[in-house]
Amino acid sequence: MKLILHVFRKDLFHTFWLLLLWFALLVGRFAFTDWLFFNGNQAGLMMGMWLPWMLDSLTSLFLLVLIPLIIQQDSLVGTTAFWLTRPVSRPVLLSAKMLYGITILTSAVLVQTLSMAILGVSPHDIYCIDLQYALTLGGFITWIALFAALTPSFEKFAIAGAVTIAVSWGLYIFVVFFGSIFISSVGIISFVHLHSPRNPFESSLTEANSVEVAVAVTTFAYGILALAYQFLSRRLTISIVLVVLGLCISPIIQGFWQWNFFQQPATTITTNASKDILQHPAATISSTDTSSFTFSLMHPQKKTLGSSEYAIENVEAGIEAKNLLPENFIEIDEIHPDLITSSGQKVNIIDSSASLKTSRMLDRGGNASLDYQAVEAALGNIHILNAGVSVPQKYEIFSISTDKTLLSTKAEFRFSAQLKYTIYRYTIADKLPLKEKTFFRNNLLLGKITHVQNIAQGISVSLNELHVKYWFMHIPPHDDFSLPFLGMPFDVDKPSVYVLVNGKRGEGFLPQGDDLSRIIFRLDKNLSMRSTTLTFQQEDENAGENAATRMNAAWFVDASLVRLEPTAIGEATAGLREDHFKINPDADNHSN
Amino acid sequence: MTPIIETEKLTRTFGQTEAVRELSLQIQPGSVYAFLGPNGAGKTTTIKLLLNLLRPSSGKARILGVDSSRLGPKELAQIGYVSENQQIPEWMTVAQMLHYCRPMYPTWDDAFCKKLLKDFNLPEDRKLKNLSRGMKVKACLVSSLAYRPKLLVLDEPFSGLDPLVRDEFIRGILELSEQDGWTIFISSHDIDEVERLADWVGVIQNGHLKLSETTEALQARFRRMEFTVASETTALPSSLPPSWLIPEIAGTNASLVESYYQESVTEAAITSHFPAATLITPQAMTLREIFLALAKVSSPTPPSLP
Repeated sequence: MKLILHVFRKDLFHTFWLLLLWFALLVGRFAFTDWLFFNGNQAGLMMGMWLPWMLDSLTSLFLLVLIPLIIQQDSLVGTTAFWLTRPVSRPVLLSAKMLYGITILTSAVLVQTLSMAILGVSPHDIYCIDLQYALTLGGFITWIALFAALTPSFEKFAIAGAVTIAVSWGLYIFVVFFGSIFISSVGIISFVHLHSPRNPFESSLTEANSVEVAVAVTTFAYGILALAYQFLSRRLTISIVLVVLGLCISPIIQGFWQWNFFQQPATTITTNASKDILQHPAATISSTDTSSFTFSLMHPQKKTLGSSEYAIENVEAGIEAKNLLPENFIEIDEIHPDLITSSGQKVNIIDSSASLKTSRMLDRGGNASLDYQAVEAALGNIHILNAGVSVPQKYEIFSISTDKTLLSTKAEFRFSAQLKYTIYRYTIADKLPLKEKTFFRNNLLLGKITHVQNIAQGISVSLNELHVKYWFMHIPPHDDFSLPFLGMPFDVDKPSVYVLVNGKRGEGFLPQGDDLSRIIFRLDKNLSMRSTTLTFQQEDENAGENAATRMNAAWFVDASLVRLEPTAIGEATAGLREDHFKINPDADNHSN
Repeated sequence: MTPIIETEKLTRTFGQTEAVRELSLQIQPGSVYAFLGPNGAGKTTTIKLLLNLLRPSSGKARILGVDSSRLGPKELAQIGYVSENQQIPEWMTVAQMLHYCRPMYPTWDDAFCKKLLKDFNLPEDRKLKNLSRGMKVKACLVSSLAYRPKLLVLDEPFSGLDPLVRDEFIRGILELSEQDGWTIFISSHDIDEVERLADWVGVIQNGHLKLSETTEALQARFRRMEFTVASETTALPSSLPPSWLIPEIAGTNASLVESYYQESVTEAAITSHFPAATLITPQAMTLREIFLALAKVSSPTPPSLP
């Protein structure tokens, strides 16, 4: 042990000034980040964009000099190194060099820890960020050391590094541009497809997934093993082979990795759909299964489309779902309507709303279709301040016919339809505290609300982000396709609903229009601008004066941004039948 | 007595080239062994094999009773090594290098180290990179002597040294070996350097060990024989004893090197091959002369007659 420390002290002494300079750059990088975080403004924007990057690059460049200097001072290649004929065992030398690497690693992590602690980042966040930082930096140091351990001088180290990068890029370009022809000709593609299922964790939005962590851990561990092998055996050829194999680890893991240990266990919703279905006395509903559902048929009306002899007749009606549990809402997936005259003759229908998801035709203002009661229920009976008027869920159906004679009659029809529908409930997908002066975390970014003030139309929120360099351990468990606050409100398949919630007051606010866009795009994408403003305005006339006065900075202090996702809790089919379906002739109109 | 260095058919090849071929030798403790050979003969490769800096292609070597491939800190703490090719931490001062080496050796003798520094007149506070070549070699020697090694291996230590430094160096080693009875293994391509030191000599050429014996025995069996032949037209007989090296006739003066000299036998053999030979004079040879004679014999194209 004494000898390990002795060799370590020698290395430390040798590189003292370089080490000090590297440390100063490191401190400068974090100090500058801190300064920006507290003082970030538009004036500092440009500087903030390039200076941390430059300091980061410089610290990395320093390591590219420091590590080879330390390793090659006691070279493992050749037969002329000073230590080879001195009573310094290989394990002692390896331990001393590793101690040096650990010192560098620890210093960097400590500086980052201190920096984040000063900024007020929570211990849990610091722990997560430090882990990923240590892992990534450790891997970087290890692989520099490995290359240095296989080369006798810095010049050859640089050449080996340059050649490796050039070959990697060459291979990449070859594979991208020419490889497919070659590879397919020798049958490799089919082999890869066979043995490498498409990685379900890839995402262009982030690298934050289990693959990235697996690559980092494996690269680090493999690098350490290969380095130890070279130190303990000094078998250059085998070590070079190990390095070449190691360089292939990353693409291999990325291609073959199948285990997403960040994925949340699937949530099983056990609600029985039949509980939510109540019989409606106004309509006769026949059920086809145990979870039959009752709809009421509303406001049948007739439209004649076109005025020429080719005009066609359209019958429109509404289907209303009543008496659902407040937290549930319904989407009708398919409707197959039939019209039958009193004489039993079937009206020839040339088109209908059979295959349309009728919920998309909801009369809800044209934006995201919201059932405010369901939103409030999902949030634990939070009162939405600017909720629109809750109307019963109403779905339009239509049937188009060219049979003018039949449709022009005022006689009653028998209407029937086959429905396929899904019952949904909102669930909280993400919750982001927005309290002033505290951190919030959104995927890659650590943000902080720095200033909230009242303005004429609402509030202005200034926020800054702490751009943490290493992120992949920082995310909460999730899969890539439900990243925090990446759910788009207009997503056809899975529309998210964003609500500002003040839990203490039991109130919520639904940002809409520009406010909604700001929340989605500022918090998620443009936070790297470091300083921006959110203005929440009340645009819904239904919110009224009272709500407008309550939405202020004081209200915002305890607010969280919550993203709700619709979750299907059951699917069913039903038959809808109305024997006395009479089209309202007053509603007849013509359109072109 | 167990040899301090022992090799058995030690061989090392680099590709198609055999740098050392089936080298077998024994060096007894307390001896000063001069390992001689021209440049490229395989001296440095042999030393690297002995110190486990290179792995042998075949054969074995034992140092201090341990297989060379198993040399560890315990054995290396008893071996001093100075080579013209060895890297040294040039960023250190002399004192720093000695300070760095000291904890590695349990037998480090501070007083002895100071004495060596004084004897070699080394500036302790000077960085190694700023020292002359001779001074660097001296500094390395101090760092390899201060722990009183059992075995001192010197690989071409005199290359590039001026005669004054060389003389100091040789004198110092002589004193130390006599005082402590160390074993010294010194390789050189120049026999003048080691003639005063060596009590054993090994000569290697093209990877082959040509001879390995005490200096005394070597000098006893080598003689330069000079004699006069009857006429200037006398030619060298086609068949000569294999122990005769580089026979020459210039006018009526003839000479040869007898590698197994026995006064009566050698003179009788000369008379037998040169019946008219007169004035037969045996002359003792220096190590340098013996080495050169051997070197000429082994040359692919023997030097032409003057």
